[in-house]
Amino acid sequence: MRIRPMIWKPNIHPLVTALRKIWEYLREACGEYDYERYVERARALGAEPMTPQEFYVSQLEHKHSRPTRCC
Amino acid sequence: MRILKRLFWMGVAALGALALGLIATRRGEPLNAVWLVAAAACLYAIGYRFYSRFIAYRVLEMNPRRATPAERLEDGRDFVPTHKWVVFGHHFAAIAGPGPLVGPILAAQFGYLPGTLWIVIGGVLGGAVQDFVTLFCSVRRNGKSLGEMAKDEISELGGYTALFAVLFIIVIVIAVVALVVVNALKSSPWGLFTIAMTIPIALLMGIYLRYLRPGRVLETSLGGFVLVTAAVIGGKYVAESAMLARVFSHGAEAIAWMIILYGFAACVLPVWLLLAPRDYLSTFVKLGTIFALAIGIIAVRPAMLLPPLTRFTDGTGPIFAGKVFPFCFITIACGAISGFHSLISSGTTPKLLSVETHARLVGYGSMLLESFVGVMAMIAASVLQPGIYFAINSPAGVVGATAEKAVATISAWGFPVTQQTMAEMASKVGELTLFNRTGGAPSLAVGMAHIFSNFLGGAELMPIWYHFAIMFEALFILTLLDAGTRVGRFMLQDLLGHFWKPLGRTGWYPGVMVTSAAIVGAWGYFLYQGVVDPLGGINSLWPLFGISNQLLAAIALCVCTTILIKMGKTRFAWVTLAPLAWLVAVTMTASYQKIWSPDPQLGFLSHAQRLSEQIATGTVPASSIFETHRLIFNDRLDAAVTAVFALLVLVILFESGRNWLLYALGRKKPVLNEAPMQLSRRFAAEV
Repeated sequence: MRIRPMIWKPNIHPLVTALRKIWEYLREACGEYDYERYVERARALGAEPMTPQEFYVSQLEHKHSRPTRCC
Repeated sequence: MRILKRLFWMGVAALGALALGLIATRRGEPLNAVWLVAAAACLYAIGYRFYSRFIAYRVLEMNPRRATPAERLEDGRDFVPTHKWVVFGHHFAAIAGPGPLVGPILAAQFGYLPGTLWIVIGGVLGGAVQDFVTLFCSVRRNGKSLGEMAKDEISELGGYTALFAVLFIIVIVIAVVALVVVNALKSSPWGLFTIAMTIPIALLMGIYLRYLRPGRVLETSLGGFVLVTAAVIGGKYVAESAMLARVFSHGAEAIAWMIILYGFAACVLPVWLLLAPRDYLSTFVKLGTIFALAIGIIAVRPAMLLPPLTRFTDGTGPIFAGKVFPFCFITIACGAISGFHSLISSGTTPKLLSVETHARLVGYGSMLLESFVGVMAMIAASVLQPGIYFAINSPAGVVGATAEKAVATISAWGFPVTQQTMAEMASKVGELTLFNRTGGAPSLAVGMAHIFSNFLGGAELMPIWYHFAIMFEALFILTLLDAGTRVGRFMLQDLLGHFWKPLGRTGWYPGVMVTSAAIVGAWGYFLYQGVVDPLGGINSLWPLFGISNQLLAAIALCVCTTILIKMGKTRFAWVTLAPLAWLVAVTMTASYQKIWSPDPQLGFLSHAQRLSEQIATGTVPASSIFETHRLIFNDRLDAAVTAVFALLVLVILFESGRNWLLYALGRKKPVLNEAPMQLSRRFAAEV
C-alpha cells in the first residue's frame, strides 16, 4: 500500500468567489453595465440606440446638470 | 431566539451607555478613541434597528409591494431599478463631501465632547431622518426634486425660496471649501505639485474614457489612482529641489487666483474631459481613504489628547468666534444634519430604488455612515497635542504673525506648545511650517498621518501619509468645486432663460461663458475675501456656510412635515418637526449673533463699526485705508447675506406654518400629490 504524501491544499474557492463578487459590485457601481442595459431597453422600445461613445457623453452631460456631489 | 435577540440589543444598549458615560465623565487622563467608536456604533445600530424601522413602517407606512418610479418609468437611463447596495454606494459617495471632515476639526476648539455628541445624536435623530423622509417623499412623487416638491406641496413661493436657497448655498459652499484648499496648499510645494498633477492625470483619463474605452470607469480609475499615488511620492523630490520648490511655492492669494481660473476652465470645458474623470478618481480615493482611516483608528486605538471641553465654549475661540450654542451646531452641518443631502435624496437616488423599502437602508443608513466619518474626523483632530492643534488652526490675526508670538499666546491659553515642537512636527510631515494653516485640512492631515504612520510605515512614511491626506482632501474638494460651479451655471441659465431665451440654452457658448463667469465670480469674490481676511476667512465664511446649509435642511424638513400632515400622520409629525425646531433655533440665533453681536470678533456689523472708528480716529495707516474700506464692505456684505438666509428660513416657515394651520382648522383640504399606487411586477403574479 502506497502512502500518498500529505499536501495541504487551502480552499481558496470562497476567497476567489468573494473577490469576484466585489469586482462585479464595483463594475456595477461604476456604471459599466449601463450601456448594455440601455441598448436592451432602446431595442425593446424599437429605437435606434446610441453608440457607446455617444451614450457615455450624453450620460455625463445629463448627470452633471444637477447636484451630484455634496458638501 | 427572540430572547437572544432581546439580550443582544440590551447588550448593545448597555455598551453604548457605558461608552457614552465614559466620554461624558472622563476628565484628566486621555480617553481612548475606541470608546468614541463604540458609542457611535452602538447608537447607530439602535437608531437604525428601532427608530428608522418605526419611521418606515409606522410613520411612512412604506410598502414593498408598491412599484417604484424606477420600475414604472424604467427607461434604461434615468430610471433604472438598481440593486440596493449599489444605490447605497452611489448615494453615500454623493453625500460624503469635505463637510463631515472639516466641520468636526474646526468644532474641536470646544473640545471633543460637544461636537461628538452633536454628530452622533444629530445624525440619528435629525440628519438621517431628513435624508430618509426626503428620499421617501421623492420616490412617491416620481423622483421630483426638493424645489419641485416645495412648490407642489407648500406653495409657489416655497418653491422659489428653495431655488434661491440652493443657488446661494452653492456659491457659499464652493467659496468656503476652496478656502480650505488654499490654506492647505499655501507655501507647500509638495502639496501644490500633487494637486496640480491631478489635472493632467484627469485629462488623460478623460481622453481614455471618451475615445479608447468608453465607460470603462473601473480600470481607468485604478490607473488614475496609481498615477496620483506616484504624484504624491514625486512631490517629495519637488519639495527637495530648490528650483522646482520655487515653481510650486505660492502664497494664498496666488493659489486663490489659480483655483478661480481652474473653476472657470472646468465649467466651460466638456464635462467628459476634466470634471467626470476627476469625479471618478476622487470618489475612489475618498471612499478608500475613509475605509483605511476606520481600519487605522481601530488598529491603532489612539489616545485622545484634546480635552472633552475647552475654555473656548465661552465664545472666545481663536478658530471661529461664538459660544458652543449655536456655533458648534452651525460648524458641524454635514456629519450631523446637512440640507445639501436633501438635494441628493431628491435627485438621482429616488430614480434608482427598485423597492420602496430600500429607502430605509439608502437614506437613513448612508447618513449614519457619513456621521461616522464625522466621528473619525473628530478623533483625527483629538489625537493631536492641543497646543499643536491650536497652533495649526489659529489665524495669525489672533495668535500673532510670528512663531514666537503664536506659541506664547497659545501656551498662555493653557495649551503648552514650543517653537521646537512645531518645527519638528512640520519637518516630520515634510512642510516648512504648520503655523496658521487654518481651514481644518492641514490639522486633519496631520492627525490622519499620525494614525496611518502608527499603523503602517512608521515615522519614515509620515510625510507621504500627510501629503496623501492633503491630496485626498483637495482632490474631492476641487471635484465639488467643478461639479457645483457647473450645476450653479445650469441653474442660473435656467433662471436667466426666463428673461432672455438664448441665455437659457446650455449649448450656446456665449451664454455658457457669461453664466460661468457669473457663478465663478460670485464664489471667487467670497474666496478672495476669505483669503485676505486678517482673521483667516474661516471665522466669517464657515458660519455662513453652516447657516446656509441648515437653511436648506429647514426647507427640506418643512416639505417633509407638510407631506406627513397631508398623509394624515399629524400625530407623528414630531419626527420631522423636532429636528426642524432645533434647526430654526440654531440658525436664527447664529444669524442674529453674526449680524448684531456687539463683539467685533463675532458680529459683522460691530466689526465694520470698529474698523470705521479706527479710520475716523486716524489709527489706520494711510497705506491701509483702501484695504480697511474693503474689509468694512465685506463685513456689511456678509451681514446682508446672513440676513437673506434668515429671511428665506422665515419665508418657508411662514408658508408651511400657514398651510399647517389651515389644514388643522379644516379651511384647506390637504391634497397629496403622490403618484398613484401600482403593484410591483414582482407581486403581479399573485393577483
